Amino acid sequence: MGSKIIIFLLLAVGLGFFSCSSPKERSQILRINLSSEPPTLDPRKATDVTSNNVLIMLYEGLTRIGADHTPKPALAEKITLSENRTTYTFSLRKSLWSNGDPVTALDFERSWKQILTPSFPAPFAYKLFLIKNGAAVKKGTVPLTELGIRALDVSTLEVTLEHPAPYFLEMLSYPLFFPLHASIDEKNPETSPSNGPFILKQWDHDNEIRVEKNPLYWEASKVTLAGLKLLIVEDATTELYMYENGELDWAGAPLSNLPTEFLPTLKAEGRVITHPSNGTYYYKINTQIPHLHNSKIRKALAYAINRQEIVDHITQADQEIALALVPNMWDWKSQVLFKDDNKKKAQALFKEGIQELGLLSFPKTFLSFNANREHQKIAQAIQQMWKETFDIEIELETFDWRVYLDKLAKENYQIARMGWLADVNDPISFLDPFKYQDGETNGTGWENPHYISLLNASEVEIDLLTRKKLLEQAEELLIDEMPIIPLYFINFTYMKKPYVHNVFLSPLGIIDFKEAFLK
Amino acid sequence: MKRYFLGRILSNIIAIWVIITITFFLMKGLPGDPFTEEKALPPEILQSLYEHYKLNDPWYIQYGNYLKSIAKWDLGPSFKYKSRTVNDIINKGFPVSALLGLEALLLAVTFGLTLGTIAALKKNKWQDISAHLLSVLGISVPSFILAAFLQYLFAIKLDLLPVARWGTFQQSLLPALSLAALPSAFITRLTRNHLIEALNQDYIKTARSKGIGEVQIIIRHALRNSLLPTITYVGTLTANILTGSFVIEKIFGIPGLGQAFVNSIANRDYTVIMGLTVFYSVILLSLILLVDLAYGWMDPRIRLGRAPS
Amino acid sequence: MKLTWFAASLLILITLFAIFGPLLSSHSYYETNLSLKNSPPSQEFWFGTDELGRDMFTRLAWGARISLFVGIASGCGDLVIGVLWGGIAALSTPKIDNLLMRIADILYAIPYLLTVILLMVVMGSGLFPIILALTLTGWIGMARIVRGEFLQLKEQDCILATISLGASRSRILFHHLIPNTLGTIIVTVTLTIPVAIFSEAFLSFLGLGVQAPMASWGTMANDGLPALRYYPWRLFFPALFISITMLSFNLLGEGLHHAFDPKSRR
Repeated sequence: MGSKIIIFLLLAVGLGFFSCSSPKERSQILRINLSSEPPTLDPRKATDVTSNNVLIMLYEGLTRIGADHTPKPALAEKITLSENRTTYTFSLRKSLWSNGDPVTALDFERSWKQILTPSFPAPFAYKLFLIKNGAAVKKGTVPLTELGIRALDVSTLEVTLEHPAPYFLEMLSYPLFFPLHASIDEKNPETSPSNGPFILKQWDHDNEIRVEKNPLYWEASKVTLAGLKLLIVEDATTELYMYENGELDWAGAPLSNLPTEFLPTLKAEGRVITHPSNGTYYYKINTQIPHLHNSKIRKALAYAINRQEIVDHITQADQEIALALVPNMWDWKSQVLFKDDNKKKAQALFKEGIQELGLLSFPKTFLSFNANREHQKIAQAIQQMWKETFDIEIELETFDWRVYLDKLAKENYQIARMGWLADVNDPISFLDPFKYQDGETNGTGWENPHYISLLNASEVEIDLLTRKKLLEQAEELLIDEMPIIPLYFINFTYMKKPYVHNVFLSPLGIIDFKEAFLK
Repeated sequence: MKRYFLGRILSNIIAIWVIITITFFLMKGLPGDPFTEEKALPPEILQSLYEHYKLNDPWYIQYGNYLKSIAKWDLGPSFKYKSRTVNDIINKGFPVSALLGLEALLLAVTFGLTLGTIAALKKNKWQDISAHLLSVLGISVPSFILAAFLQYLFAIKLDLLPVARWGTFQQSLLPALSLAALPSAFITRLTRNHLIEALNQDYIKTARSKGIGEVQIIIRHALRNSLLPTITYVGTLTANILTGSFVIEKIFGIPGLGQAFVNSIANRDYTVIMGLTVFYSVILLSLILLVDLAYGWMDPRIRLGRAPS
Repeated sequence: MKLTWFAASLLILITLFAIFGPLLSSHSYYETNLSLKNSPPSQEFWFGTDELGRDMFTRLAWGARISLFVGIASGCGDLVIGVLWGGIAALSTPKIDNLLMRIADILYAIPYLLTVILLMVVMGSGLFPIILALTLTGWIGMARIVRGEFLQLKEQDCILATISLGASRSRILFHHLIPNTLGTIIVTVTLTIPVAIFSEAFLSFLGLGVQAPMASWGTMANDGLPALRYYPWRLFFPALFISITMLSFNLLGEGLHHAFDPKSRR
């Protein structure tokens, strides 16, 4: 009896001690807004930025992107690469699932094989086509056993690729490549054990998600946050108000956008942070439309645009203007392949193009975009620039997002806006879509044999510098033919409270709170 | 009466079947499917997704399966939210929307009836004119502007109420107010106009001449009859207000059905579109039935089921 | 009565604004001037400029044309279909009455967003699909109210007498029922027009409104929402025009109601 009282007293004192010290110590709960409900917390099925950003909290893959945006070994303790750069061997470190089971190489192999099983509904399965026989296995023409992935033993994983891919280690940090616990509940995958810095505590659908620190995480010593409160509030203005009222610690990219109406003032107050992203905002042209078939016309349209004005007055987040397709990446400097706002040259090219086409006048041209204020503003500005430079009639067309995607897929458009965020930190992610005319993501109807051969050569090239040269040449060719009109390089604009430290934001839009702390 | 009631229920079931059928084919007609992404998927993957969600079956099989499961009130899994079913989404969103809606409705009815009665009794006096002005204001400002303005004023400028979200009474105040403004204005006007009319009717004059108290006349006779149009209005309004307002829910970050429905159309989340449409119809048709019953009860002159020809 | 004249003159002013406003201004509604974006009201730009530096006055005048047109056109659509449908239902045999009202219920119970999106997709975005969509979803309320009123009136002595004298249905409809319910119908129409204008704004909010660079008051108000904090005129003026128009329609409706309805004049 007596000892119980003593324990009780000790507890009371202890609690009192903590509650006394708490005003000084900041609560280590970080509050951010996800903006939308994550469609799934199953790494195999996630395709969107929201799900992926929650998954990165809950899971750990073979690698993890570090503060310098490069992949660092995570569950892989040692990585060896074969001479021909296609076979990777990963030795796994000892680590545990949140229920105490060990993480094994089989947990990787099993999940990846499921993704590539023909009947398994994984939309992004094609990202694993890089693995030897991946595409054929998914089609069902080659058995799963032929897949280039093998768990040599519980702690060794061997992966063979179709061709060398310098970006493979980076891909491994994506949720799609995370291991999964054998006991995963296919209906409710969020209930199964995870192995990341945080574990899912509560999922109040459409409203709020709570995660808390995972004590069994292999690098738990680096995790300071006690947890995160992830709100789901769709409206960007409301989010900003909540941030201003102290209900959020972070507002804006990559999970939502700061409303442009607020940017000038917030920027003047020095509170907006911009961060590079691997994304380009461009207009794609349907080159199969007769009057857009001529590359001089396409170039004229591209040269007539004053990008700087658009960035300064419309997007207003200090974006860099795009005079090529591929933005700056860690070992790639974006090229300058033409001059911005070159109305004289544009007019000359336009005249030549019209003559080559044998047209008397330029037909009415449609500029399409999906319903969104920002796209609409940019389109109206460009409509005016083209009108002023060429005296042509441009009609704007707004569509519901799905209708818009449907139109693009069916190539039922003339000029259409596109925002492309790369899959990997590699120029190929931008250049590859335009390789083949009938590629799913091309949609411009453009194809060029020289371009194809340049990309093919880059695929098998082992020397990184030569590969880069090949890709630069391909980009030059693309911009000289101009099936797409680059406008600006997308960046991430956000605000964070001054007491938030050590958050890593990757150029691909993944925000990592693993090592974050509040002070 | 009982026969009438059963007949109406039967006809409502037929109505719901018609609605299911219309929606099913309307939805199939919408361009774009749930799997279109900015980065288009390779055809073999698209096929495996169609196969998994049984979208490759012929339409009559899909339609038949849907009818079968809906009879068991199993609305199917969401395409977009992989671990949720449509039933989950309704069970989660409806209580929120309904609670907010009820709060707004209560505000609107209380406010509207009181103001309308005062205005009618003090016809053309200052009370009437101020009630008039208030109600006109309520009708004049679109709810999204009112909501944004209230949010800015009370949460940012004055810092009196929370900006957004759902959970506490304080959080529900601004959205309920924004939602109630329009209906309370309508109810004020309907009540006023009909009460004035009713007060001039012969039977009221008879009642007055019999020496029945003024308060009793208003409550027992005049108000009762002038409530009819209000009930029609509130009845149909209720379904709308209970199933959530997209604009209010979006601006105030409320996890209700209004947002869920608009998002499901945007996502082409077929099962959710269907499920929410059916759910909405069931609620609406039940309320219409209730309104008709209330009509019969309020005004014995309308004999249900035996409308004079 | 004074208020009615006031409202009527306001509406005439707004109509004049819609017709002649664009001519008054030296700016065009579409021409952007990015360096002048978000300028506050001034001598040059009476109502300020928008996010692309366009004159708000000119755009509001053009918006007036669109918003008024959408409101009135779909209000008229509602009126015609609603009165006919409700009237026929009330005057027919109970069976047909029941059938008509059930059909109305069914149509009413299909969420209008679904109907609207499908319409816009099939017909392309534009004014006509918006009006059609608003009418298709708006007339049912009118029909129900009209039927309710008619049923009530039908029981009244004078009409029972006319029926027993063998008057034709259309005579009863046009000579007795409609004149006697005109008040309610007018009040309902005046309340439908603002609803139509609001609905149009809501559609713009979803990206289904009129096509840019053209704008309605609704789209302008929507665009002005995030500007409330720093460039309030971008929300204030569209909101003001919407509100004044609503106010006028309401006051006018009320006035007409008094004028038409002998009972309430007493």
